[in-house]
Amino acid sequence: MRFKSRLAIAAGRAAGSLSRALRLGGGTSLPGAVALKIDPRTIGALARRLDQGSVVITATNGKTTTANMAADILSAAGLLPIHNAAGANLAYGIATALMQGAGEGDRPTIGLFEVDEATVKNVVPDLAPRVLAVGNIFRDQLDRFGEVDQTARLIAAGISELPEGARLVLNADDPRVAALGQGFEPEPLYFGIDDVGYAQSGGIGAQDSKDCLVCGGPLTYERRYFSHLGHYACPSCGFSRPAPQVTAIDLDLTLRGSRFKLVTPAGTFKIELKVPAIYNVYNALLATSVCLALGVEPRTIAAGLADFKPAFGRFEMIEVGGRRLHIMLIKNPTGFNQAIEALNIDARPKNIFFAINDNLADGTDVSWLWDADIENLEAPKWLLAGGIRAHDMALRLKYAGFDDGALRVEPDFDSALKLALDAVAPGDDLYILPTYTAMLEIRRRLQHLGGVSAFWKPGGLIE
Amino acid sequence: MKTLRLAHLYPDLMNLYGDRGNIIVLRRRCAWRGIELVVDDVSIGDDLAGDYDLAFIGGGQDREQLLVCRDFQRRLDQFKGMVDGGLVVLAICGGYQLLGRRFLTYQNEELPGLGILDIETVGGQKRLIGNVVVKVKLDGSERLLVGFENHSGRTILGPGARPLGTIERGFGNNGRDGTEGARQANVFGTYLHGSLLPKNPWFADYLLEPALKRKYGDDFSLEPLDDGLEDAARTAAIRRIEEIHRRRWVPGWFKR
Ligand SMILES: [Zn+2]
Repeated sequence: MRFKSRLAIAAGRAAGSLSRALRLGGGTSLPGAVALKIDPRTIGALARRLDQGSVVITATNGKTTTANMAADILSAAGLLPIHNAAGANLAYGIATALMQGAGEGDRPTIGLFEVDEATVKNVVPDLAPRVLAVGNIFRDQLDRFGEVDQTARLIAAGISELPEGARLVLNADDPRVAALGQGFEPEPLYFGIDDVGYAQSGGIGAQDSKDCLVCGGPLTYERRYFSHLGHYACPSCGFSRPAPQVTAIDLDLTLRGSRFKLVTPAGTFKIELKVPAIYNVYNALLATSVCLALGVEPRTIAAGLADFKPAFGRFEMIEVGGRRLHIMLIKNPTGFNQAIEALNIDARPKNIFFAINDNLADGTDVSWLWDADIENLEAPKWLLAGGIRAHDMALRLKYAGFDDGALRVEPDFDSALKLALDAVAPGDDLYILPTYTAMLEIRRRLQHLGGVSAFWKPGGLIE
Repeated sequence: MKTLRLAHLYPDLMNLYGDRGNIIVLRRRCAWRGIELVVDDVSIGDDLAGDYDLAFIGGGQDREQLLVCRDFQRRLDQFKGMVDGGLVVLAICGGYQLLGRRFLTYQNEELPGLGILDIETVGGQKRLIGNVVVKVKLDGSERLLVGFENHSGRTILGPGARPLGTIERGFGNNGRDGTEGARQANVFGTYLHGSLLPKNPWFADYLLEPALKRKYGDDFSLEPLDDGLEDAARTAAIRRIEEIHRRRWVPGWFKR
């Protein structure tokens, strides 16, 4: 390794230790930021040392869940995946993961990176990944990328930088993603859902891709699973869903988890996932396809998926004083609709805490709340709007018809959590739907409570 | 029961950034006063058949804006007639640009507009993105509109159009002359989405009132509603915008 790269890595590590010692935070990005400032080629220098190469996963929704699923499978296959922390999916975070992962254990190492859609083109030349996987393209943080089309163009720019022979893994059910594979060599590995029971019809909802990417004509759907994902075709030019090699059939979805049959070229396997809702079936299909492209045995894949546990804030359940708190991260209209769909599986009257922030990592434009189909929410009992944009959320609920005295507004997180824990009786469930930074703030407060839940008493949070 | 009819123009193509929130608000605010707002989706190939009181067109991406512009030509005369007859029109972002005389892309490609508003838009390289506060003086009293803008086009008003308001925070029409939006007769155009109407209910009513007066006579006036939550949301948004404005620069990686 060049002297400059070694110096950059040493300086980055030192900055990381210092930051930790001073409790300044920034540990998942700071070392990489410092190293890249000194040597912009740090990622390339470190990536060349991964003996199994690397994998890049990008998507609007589900990057973290998918990367975690793939990490569990690769670990089950005896590899040591080096992967970036949830959310640290820009170049800094990837460099940090590579710096921290180097030199651990003696298993063969593979880089597994969830990468921000706009960052793909910046890191692909350095990482030279063996596999690039694209899960979906939805409306998300448009204040950053401008338009949905722009997101697809940014990812396409990353694809054009792939090294010779690299594999593309694409969601056949997302027309915008499937179109990325046109003309790519070797033939991309496509995945999709082939179930008949869970398809829905009608309603525009948060559909972001309604016309054909090739000719601009309207797409027709034989089947739609959610948003614009499904079995589509363009009657005017013939562009249609590519036949997927990896599919899911016989779906059985409950709030507790998802059961389905995984069909691969190497056989069919029964899968039981501990995460609910159809979007997690897509996440599992992507993780499966990535691992198949890397040569992992389907049996190992099925075992890895069965062991998978969701990361904090991505449908995790925490107990506080006998109350079950379910946290479902929402960050765009589609994610919001998915969360509502998952909530509706529980038919009982529900307590729900929406926590909406508008920091950079959340997207500074909160207009997306109006693109979500909040009207579809069934059986709300007690509703709380919190976070920096609590009032915007409350207005959305009011205009969806949910302000009949059951709606509370509290921007402050401490007060909001106190209200929520007072309102929800022990033994009952509280659903928390936070944006990214709201999730982090709630997590920080619940960590305080988690170990000390016995000290919580109605009427007050005791820290 | 009193009824208003609204033509939602190209909702499948022109629907960015929560535009449909504006329709939801108009419909609810009518319903709370016992007025039915009938909303017809009018898209490519559909006829603009109906005695409309209001029309709404939202924002779209360049590709979709082009499709809409092409389709609109065949109903342009009919639509201009409706506007002359007092149709209240609200156009947001891409829809606003489309109502203008023409659009020049950044590569100097000229796209014709509909010529309903005396405005021209030129594509810019840098997108103008962020929260916006606009001071509006419509019927003598001064009021605020808050929203979010995200556009690359720079719009210049001709003598036929008046600005909707003046910028307090944000970029507005072009980031230079301090104006935001345009108004010509009952046609209103603006770059504010966010959605516009939920946090600015006075403006929603300001649009409904002339439509109702035209249909039910000049004596008609809208019953006031309890806008406590809406007003609190506007105040909170303005406070947030001022806070962002004041905040010192902090490196991105430090916040993660
Ligand atoms: Zn086509």
